[in-house]
Parts: sequence; C-alpha cells; structure tokens
Amino acid sequence: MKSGISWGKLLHQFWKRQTWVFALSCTGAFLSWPVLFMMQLSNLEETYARQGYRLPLKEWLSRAVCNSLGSGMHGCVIAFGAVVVAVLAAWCGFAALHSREKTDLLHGLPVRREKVFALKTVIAALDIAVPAAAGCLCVLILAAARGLMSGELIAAALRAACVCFVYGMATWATAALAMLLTGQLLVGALGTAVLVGIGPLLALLCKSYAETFYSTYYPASRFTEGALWRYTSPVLGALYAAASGSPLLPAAALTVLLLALALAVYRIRPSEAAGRAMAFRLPAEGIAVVLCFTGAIASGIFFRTAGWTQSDPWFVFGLCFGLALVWAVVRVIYTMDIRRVFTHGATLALAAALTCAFAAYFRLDLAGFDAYLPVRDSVRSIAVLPGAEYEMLDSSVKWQSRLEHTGLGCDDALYAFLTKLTAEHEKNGDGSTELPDNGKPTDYRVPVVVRVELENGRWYTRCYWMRFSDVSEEMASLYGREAYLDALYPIRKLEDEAVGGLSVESSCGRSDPLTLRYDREAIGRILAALREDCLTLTPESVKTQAPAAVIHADLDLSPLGLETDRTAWIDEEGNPERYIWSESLIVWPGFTHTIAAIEAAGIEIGAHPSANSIREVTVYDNGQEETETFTDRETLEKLAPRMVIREAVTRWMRIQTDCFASAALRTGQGFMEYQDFMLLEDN
Amino acid sequence: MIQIQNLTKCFENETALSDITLTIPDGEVFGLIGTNGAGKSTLLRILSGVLRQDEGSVRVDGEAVWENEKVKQTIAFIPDEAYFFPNATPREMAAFFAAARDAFDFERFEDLTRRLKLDPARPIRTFSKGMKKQLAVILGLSTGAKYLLCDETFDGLDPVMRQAVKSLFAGDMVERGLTPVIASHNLRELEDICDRVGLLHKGGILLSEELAGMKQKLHKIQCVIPDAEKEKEMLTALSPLRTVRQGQLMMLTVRGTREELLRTVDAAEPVFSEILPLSLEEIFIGETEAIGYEVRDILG
Repeated sequence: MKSGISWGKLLHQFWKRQTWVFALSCTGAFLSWPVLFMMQLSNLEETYARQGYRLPLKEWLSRAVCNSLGSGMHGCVIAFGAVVVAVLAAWCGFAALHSREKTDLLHGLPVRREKVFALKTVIAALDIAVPAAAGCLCVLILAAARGLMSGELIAAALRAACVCFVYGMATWATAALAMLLTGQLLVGALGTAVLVGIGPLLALLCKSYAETFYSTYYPASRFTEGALWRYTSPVLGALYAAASGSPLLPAAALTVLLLALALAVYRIRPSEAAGRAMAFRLPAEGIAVVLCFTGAIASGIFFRTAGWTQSDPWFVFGLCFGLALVWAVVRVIYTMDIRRVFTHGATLALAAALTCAFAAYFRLDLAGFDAYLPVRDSVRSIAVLPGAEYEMLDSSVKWQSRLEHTGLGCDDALYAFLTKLTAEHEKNGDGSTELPDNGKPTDYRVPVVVRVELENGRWYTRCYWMRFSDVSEEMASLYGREAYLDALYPIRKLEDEAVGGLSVESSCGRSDPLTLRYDREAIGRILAALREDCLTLTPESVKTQAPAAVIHADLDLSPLGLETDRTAWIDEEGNPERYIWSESLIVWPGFTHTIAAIEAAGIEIGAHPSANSIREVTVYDNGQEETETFTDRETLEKLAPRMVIREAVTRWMRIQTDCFASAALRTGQGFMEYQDFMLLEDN
Repeated sequence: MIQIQNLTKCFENETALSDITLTIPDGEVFGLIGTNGAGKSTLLRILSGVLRQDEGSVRVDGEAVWENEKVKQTIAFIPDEAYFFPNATPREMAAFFAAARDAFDFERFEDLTRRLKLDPARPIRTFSKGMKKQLAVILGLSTGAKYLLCDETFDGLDPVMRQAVKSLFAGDMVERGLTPVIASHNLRELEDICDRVGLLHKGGILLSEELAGMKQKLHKIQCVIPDAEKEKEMLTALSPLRTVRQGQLMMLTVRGTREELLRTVDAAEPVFSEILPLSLEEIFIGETEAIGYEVRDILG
C-alpha cells in the first residue's frame, strides 16, 4: 500500500501537532463573542431601564452593541484575544526550529521551506479565522433571536472579525519573525516582545524627549498619535483599529509585507541555529544596538524626570547606566556566559554613539525646533489659541480639532504675531520655574498655541509660553475677528437642532448630563445667551477672572463642514451621526446672560462654591504630601472664596503652590461625591 | 550515487567540515568513522538536506540536495536522537512520514513492527531507548528511500537486534538497492557490515576506500630482529605508522601489501616474524595516530 503526498494530508498532520492552540482560540472566541455579547446586552438593558431613554429599547440596544462591536470595548476584547492566539500559534508553529532533534525531523522531510511556511501560515489563519467566524455567526444568531439584527450590526460584526484576522495574522507574522531570528524558545518569546513593543516605545521616547527638551513642543495631531499606535506594532494596531474603526486595507498590506519578510528569513535561516540565542550574527548585533540605544535613552529620560531638579548630570548618568545595563543583559542572553558581557566593543561603541547623537539632538535642539520660523511667503494659514481656551479643552484631540478650524489665513498682523511669539519665547524661555511678579496674577504667563499651515501642504504646531501683557494686544485683535469667534464658539453658526445634550461644569461641580438633555427650551435659551455674550469677549475679561463655568455640548459640526469623520460616535440617546462632537465652551464671569440662563435651568453656578454648600474640605499640599480636613464653618467660609474648579483655573497653576482641595458639596439630594478644586493663594 | 565535492561547513567560528571530497557508490554499505567532533553527524545532516554547506557541493544522483524535494524523497535520515511527537504512537509517526513521503509503505511498516515486536499502537514515550532506535530504523526503512543515513543507529540496540537490523539492511540492499550510510564509533559493528569506509578527523577526510582493499594495504608485523643495524634498515624501509616494543618483540603497523612487507622483513633476517591483517579499529587507531591523535596524548 502506497501513500500519496498531498497538501491536505500535510496540513492535517501539521495541524494535529498544535490542536491546543485551536482549542484555546475556540474557547477565547466563545467567551469574547457570544458570551460577552450576552453580558453586554444584560448590562445595557439594565442601563436602559435605569436611564429611561426615549428611543425604543431594541433600537437603542442594536445601536449600542453595534457601536461596541464596531469601534468599542467588545471589538477591543475580540481583537486582543486574536492577538494572543496569534502569538501562541507562532510560538507553537516555529518552536521546532529551536530544537536540534525537531529540526532534524522537520527539515529532513522532503518538503521545501516555502511549503512548510505556507502550511504554518494556513494553520495560523485557520486558528484565528475559524473561531472568529464561528463567534461572529453566534453573535448574529443571538442578535437575530433578540430582534436586534440590522445591517449595521452585520457590518460591525464582520468588521470585528476582519480586524481579528488581519491584525491576528500581522501579529503572527511578527511573532514568527521573532522565532525565526532566534534559536531558543525563551529568547524567541523575548524577541516577540521586542518586535511588538520596540516601535511604540521608541516613538513614545521620541515624543517624551520632544516634550522634555523642546519648550514649544505641542502634540502634533490625531493622525500622528493614531499612526503611533497603528503602524508601529501589530498588537497596538489591533486595539487601535478595534477602538477607532480605522480602515483595514493598509494593515492588510503591512501584514502581507510582514509575511513575506518572515518567509524570506525562514528561507535563509540556518538549521544549526537551533539552541543558539540568535540565528543570524549580523542582525543579532543590529538588534543589540537598537535595544541598548532604546534602553539608554529610556533610562536617561527616566533619571532626568524622576527627580524634581531635572538636572543634566542625572540625565547623563541615566544614559550611561541604561546603556551598560541593557548591553550586559543582551550579551548574557546572547552568550549565556557572564564573562563575555563586554565583548563586541564595536557594537557597544555604535550604540553609545547613537545614544549620544540622539540625546544631543534633543538636548541641544540641534534642529532648531524652538526657534523655527518659516518665511512669510511659505505660510498659508495661522491658527492661534491663547491661554485660557487652551486649558479648557480637556484633550489634545479637542484642541487639535479646534486648531484645525481656527485657521485665519496669513496676513501681516498674524505673521508679525508669530514672529513675536518665536522671538519672545527665545528670549524668555518657557518660564516653567519662574514665579510671577510678586506672586500676583497681573502678568502671569499664558500658553499660546499656534498651528501653522505651509504652502507645501505641511503644517506644524507650537506652544509658546508668553507674558500676558506681551500678547494682550494681539489677543484683543483676535477677539475682534468674527471668524475667530466663530471658531471659538461654533454654536454661533449652528442652529439649536445641531446641539444635543449639554452639561455645565462650574465651581459647584458638573451638572448631570441628563439634566438638560431633553429640555430643548432651556438649551435654546442658554445657547442664545451664549451667542450674545461671546461678542463681549476681551483680553481683560479673561485676564482678571477665572471662568465661571464650562459648557460641554454635543455638537453636530457637519453643517460647518467639520469633523464629518466622526460619524461612528453615538450619544447616550442613541442618535448616531448627529451629535458627533463634544465641545467645551467657556462661560466667563462677564457672560451674565448665559449665567442667568443656566441658573434659570436650575443649575447652580459661580466662580467659587458658597460656604453653605460645603460640608467639609480636605486640603492636599503636593509639595509636602500632607492633608488636612476642615469641617468648621469659620474655616470653610475662608476657604470657599479661594476654591476654583480644577479645569477653570489650570492656567493659574504656574502662580500657585501645589495646593488642592477636595470638598463634599451639598446638592438638592444631600451631599454629592467629593469634587476636586484648586486652592488659590490667600492674598 | 552520492558525490561530495570540496565540502566545507562552519558553525560560527568553528570549522566542522573542511574541504571534504567523497564518493558513496550505490548498493554498498558505507561506514563513516571518525574521532569525536570529526563532523560525522554534520556530514549526514548536510547529506539529508537539514543543513546547508557553506562551500562545495553535495549531489545525489547528479542533483543538489538542498531544498530539492525530489532528491530528498530518496533520502531518509535516522538521527542519533530521533524526535517523536509527544504522546504519539508508532502508527501516528508513520502517518506523519507518509504525509510527506510519497513512497512510504504502510504494509512494510506494519510488517516490520510485527517482526521486531513493537506495538504500533503504544505511546512511544513508554518505549525504552533501544525500542525507540528500532522504531527509527523501521520508519526509515518504511520510507522506501534509496539512501538511508544512520547516525549512531546501532548504539542502544542489543546484539540480537543489531543482527536483525543488519539483516533488514541486507535484505533491502538486495531487493531494492538500498545504500545505507552508517556513522558510528563502534568499529567492530561497521567492520562486519561495511563495504566501504570513510575516515573523518577534525573535519577532514583522511581516507575513503573499500574495507577489503584497506585491509590489504595496512598490516601488523610482529618480529624479532637480532641485528640492530638490520633492524634499523628495516624500520627505515617500512616507515611504520605505529611501533610498540615488548622486550625483543617488535610490533609494527605499516602500509603495504603482504608480499612487499614479507620481502622487507625477510631481508632483515628475523628469528621470528609474522604478518597479520588489521582490524578496522586498529586501522582507525593507526591512521589517526599517524596524524598525531594518540591515545597516549589523550590520557596524558
């Protein structure tokens, strides 16, 4: 009896050796698809019953699960499970190459390496795709049984399965690459961690160095932040894709490239590498250089920022220590011989040189980052957001969005302002350790963030810390521009229907977001007052007083041609593609009409909480790490005028001691949870 | 036929095989002998396509071995420590090999397990070392490969089983022209079975000849020469590879045919002389001592 050779038989035989990975994948898929789906449904039904949304239950549930699966928590859990399975499949698939006996068996077979690799790839694809497809089907069946089936849900489930597959295979290829580059299982596992983590780590370190050493550095953009996650690591990319709904085609292309690279490495990998730490000598030294360089710069920035002084000697110590430590660890792993720790001096020298060059580049600002000023003709548009607005926006995403639509073109006045910012900043530095004159808030520093678009399509952002008196004239000019006010207060150009729920945050805490959600009349009154009040904005009005409140509004900016890419966002009411952007609008003490409208809606507002509304105050002094709690009326009355909410006063931080207060505030129902405040100095 | 031309293989900074040129004819048992670390296993792993040579060429029936599925179908490698999947039975291992080898013969496999009294359904992890060796041989023979590369395969087999395996090899050689290549330290085993021997030392090939011819060219002489001058002349003429004295009795290992040596010894007028054939082990010791690899040196 003769047996014929076939792909099917080989696949079956190879697959049999790692059925546990498939079993694990099935278990994970079962838990992360149908089980998590049902758990989510239970929670959502409870939430619905508690909140009393206006949408019918099934419609609301359908949208909620859709959102969670397509770009939310459920999708993330599924993607993470796929990534774990992919790593295990790669380790299991290529572990044979780390043992001489197993290698003899595998490579003694009359099967070309390309075929072996293809078989392993198919098995990994099946390990990832089959359970995901089954899980996806289960979810759709369950959804149909509960009457939640919709086209959007099918699309979201299929997308989640695609994210699983695409990023699972990318992770598999990365882990396989690590296994192929190494010759021991433990080193292979470490190698996987390195390949998966080194990209984001290096990117984060670059960002950290820029933040530390460039005084005008400002986080670049959503795209850059997203790219940091998406393209530097398949694992982080999977989570990002699952959470953001980003397109999968680039990831699929990268996956194919990674697979091709892994195959190329496998074809030239020497079988005798089994048992050695690293399979290839030259790449091993390259990896050693990268690891040492990364360790050194990470250690350098850690030692520089760990202490309060941020001194250069500690920075240098950190660089040297990190370099030596990582080098020693890498050498011991490579050779398993502690006596050979400091061999390969040339590689060490290269790592040291790279480290020095990198550190000097940032520390000495060799690129002239802080002093950069484009020539007038090359600037297309300049967007400026000074001081207080900067601090009101609680995320760089919001800030970037605001910047993107506050571009005012580039006239002589704006370019002169940019020139002044650059020159004054050069002269004054960031002033981060400088106290204001006499500790009084008469000439404090404010951050002025600019976004400059160039004629060649490129753009950059900077944050200049300026004395208020130096920029007040330019700020007055900005506030006088209609276009600028439209950008700061987009509600000026929007109909009331474009505004969803809104909540108010003041020194008395944050109102329940639901308070005003369905009171369209109250919302209309507040918006009308705000549109009127924002015309009174002057530098003086924002200079001397803390904001009275911040309105957080869900806005549909699409009528303005903005933020149309955020259609996946669904508000709690279940109105997708409508209230797509949560905007923070500042209410200054001079906005009397707005404050009156808010108070008429039943929301207490004020620059400071009244002493009567406070039960107790706990004061924290970060400098001394001590706390003290006050409950007596006399002390509370003294403290109340000094208390401002954190967000409303962050711009004051540079003139404050690091004192915070946590107060229990009285509400209509009794005392609400503790609210944090900044504590102004007692002048 | 296996043809090896100027084969060199290095592991990091160590040269495992250096400029090896060797031919292994079909239908013969080729014995690969050598000192520890001589490169026997490395050579077999290159022949089987597991390793790739750095320089030179390895051709089997005229074709390169590396990544050549067609040629590798004709080669089966039985490594020193064969790997079997955890919890696998002999039958499952056979199924694995059958999936990759188009000439795998299940009937032969079943027949051999029956004859060698191995239970094909029993987990291999419960097998003794010798039983695992037997299974490796059975699997190797069942592949139907023309060339069977055996690395220390006879180690761990009991004498009866060794004879049985030798019989199997002999049967396959007659039936289907099997060419076993056997690397071993056990020279007495090889002496019984090998037609041709290759001697490796420190990565180089010292000699590769038919065993019978090798034995005709190397002899051991025991003699007593009373005349010191004539003894000196004889030694000069013979250039012995090895000389051992016990009183007046001199034992020499020398190259040459029996007739030539007889003439030279007789010319020295010995009171006693005897020319004996060498065992493979003595040939091995003589050849390696000739290049400075002496037991005395090793033992200090």
